[in-house]
Amino acid sequence: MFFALMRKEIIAHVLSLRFGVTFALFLLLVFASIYVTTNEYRRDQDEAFAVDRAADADLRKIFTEEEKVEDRFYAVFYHHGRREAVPPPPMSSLVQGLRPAMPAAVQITPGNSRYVGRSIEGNPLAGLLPIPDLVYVVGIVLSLLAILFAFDSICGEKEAGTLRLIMSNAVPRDSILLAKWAAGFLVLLVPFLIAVFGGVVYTWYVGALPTDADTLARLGTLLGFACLYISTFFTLSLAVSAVTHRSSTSLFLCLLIWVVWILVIPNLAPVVAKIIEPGYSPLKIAQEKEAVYREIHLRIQRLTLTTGKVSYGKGIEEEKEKLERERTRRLEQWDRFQSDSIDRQKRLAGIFGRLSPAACWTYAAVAVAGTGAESYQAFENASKQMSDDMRKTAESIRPPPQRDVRDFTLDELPRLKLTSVPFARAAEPAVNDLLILAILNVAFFMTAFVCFLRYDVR
Amino acid sequence: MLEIKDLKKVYEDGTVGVDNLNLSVAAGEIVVLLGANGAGKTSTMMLILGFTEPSSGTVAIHGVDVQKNPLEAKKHVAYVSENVTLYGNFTANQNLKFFTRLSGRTDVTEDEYRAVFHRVGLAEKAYYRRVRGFSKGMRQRLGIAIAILKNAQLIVLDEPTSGLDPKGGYEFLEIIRQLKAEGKAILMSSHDIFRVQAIADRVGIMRRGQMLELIERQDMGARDLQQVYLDYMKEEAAGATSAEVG
Repeated sequence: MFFALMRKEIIAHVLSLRFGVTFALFLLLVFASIYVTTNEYRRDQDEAFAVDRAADADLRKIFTEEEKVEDRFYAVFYHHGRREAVPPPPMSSLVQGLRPAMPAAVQITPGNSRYVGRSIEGNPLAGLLPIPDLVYVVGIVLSLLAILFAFDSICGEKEAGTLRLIMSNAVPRDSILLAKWAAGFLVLLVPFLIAVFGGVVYTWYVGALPTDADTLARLGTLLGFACLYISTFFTLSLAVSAVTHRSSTSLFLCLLIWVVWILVIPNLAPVVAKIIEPGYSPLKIAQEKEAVYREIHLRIQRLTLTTGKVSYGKGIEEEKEKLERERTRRLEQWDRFQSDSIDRQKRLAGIFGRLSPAACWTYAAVAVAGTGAESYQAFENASKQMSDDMRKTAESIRPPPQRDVRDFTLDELPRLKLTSVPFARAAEPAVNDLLILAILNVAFFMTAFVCFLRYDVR
Repeated sequence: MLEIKDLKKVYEDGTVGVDNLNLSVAAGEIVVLLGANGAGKTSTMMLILGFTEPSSGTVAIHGVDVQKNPLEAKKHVAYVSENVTLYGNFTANQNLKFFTRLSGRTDVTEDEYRAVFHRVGLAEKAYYRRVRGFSKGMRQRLGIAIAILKNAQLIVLDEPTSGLDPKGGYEFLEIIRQLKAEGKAILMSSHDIFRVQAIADRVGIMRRGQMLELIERQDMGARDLQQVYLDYMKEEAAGATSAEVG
């Protein structure tokens, strides 16, 4: 009986116009989004190779042109530095995440790193209307299609009068509900998986996605999350259709919830977090740090330039070092203050955002794909590490306080060690999102079940 | 086959749908419920089918209490509504097969499906046509075909001939007569006194949920059924007017 019901549901869906439209949309949107993001990825990858090649050529040129070791040292470490390309994360061909926010390259000198933008000739509208990647398509379009598939599952059959005819047979209500859920979800999922499969095969074919076990695990988990997310909206619509008695009412309620979940909560979450945890703006922090620089600089000047004469001596040097240590401590304090404030804002935004399954899906997808905040943090850590390594290398070539510079080669210069976050660690923050989506699914199905048991089929 | 005892249904808004109804329908018998809109005919049928719970009283089909064991009771009843609404995107054949499987019958052959389809007066060419394009009469016939294929002992029909043309109505009643001859118990509601008179073994006149009178077939000849019905309706109208004046 269950299979008869399920078969009927599948045939009814497949024969409907909305299935045809949905199938076409899935194929078009999912494949188009993967195609576009894959090409973006390939372009960034080519750009990264080009940046690396150009940077190496520049350094070699310095080595050729600057004959004196000391000049070469200053030119490499302080004037030029080392420019390193920031390659796109491997999974960003499917899930862009924070990749557009990451620089194309980073220019590193001892103790300092400067980010170089992706392209100054870029189309500004691209920032205004970002590329819809798989996360966007699943998050916005597929959630809406899931609603359109299920909003009239029960109330629509009541309106049509077929529910009465079904219920006049010895059919348990739970079988009807389960068949509706399973068949509807299956019909919704198959076109999605076909479209994703086609897109992934294309991405693999053009070499924009590694074929190792780590990528497969990420891809599998990502698709699992997508299914769970789509199921959340599908089950929600099923529950709403079991509560209401008119398709129009059900559609209105479902769309209302969709708007709140997709458009309102995720966009308001960072704003609310900023209201609760205002912190200082980066500009203000920069001003404060600048003030510290100026103050310590003045104090050092006062120390060494007393009564118009330059003062020397061990005591003065010690006092100067003390002031420099104070400057470092106070600058670090400001940095810590800023990073703590950002951390608190991030945590709060995460908590508020997770009131919406759309935010859960986005957080989980970028975490699993390795293109989220973790990967951005890993990049920042790597550039900081490289900057420190540059300082250490510079000190090893010209050890303080001596001023003699030893000869050095290009191979001694440190490189940017950009390592991707391992899958197990990357997926860790997604566990909470997985739980939230699973709980929502169970809660909506239970609501649908309880309401349908008491549903007035007359 | 059908036993209704002291059945009462009061809706949440206080409306009395069915008021102390006692009725039985035996195998091979046609009982017709006659009454104005809101008299309680459809409410009675909804209670028989277990779609609503009675406030008091019992309904038993083939000895099975509908309230205590609804799924078992539903195995013995087939339902044809006033407007048979099937799946429009499905062909007649698909609709027949789906509802037959749903009734628990998996042993029906293709020949049997076709035989029943033709028996209710539907042409072969309609067998693979989508139901969306069917007229009301065709859908009613398909509805009765589904009921026949279920092979239930009790068939409940809610105003099945309303909206049908005279020929269609006559043919529909012929099918019901045949079902009676096969030993099926039939309970139907109708507004059409003349057709009722032609087919019913007993006619129950309902008003405000109450069964006012149950007229046996042998008494129908002696009494003018239309006049009896109209007298009851006049009483109702008078009652309503005096209540308004009062």
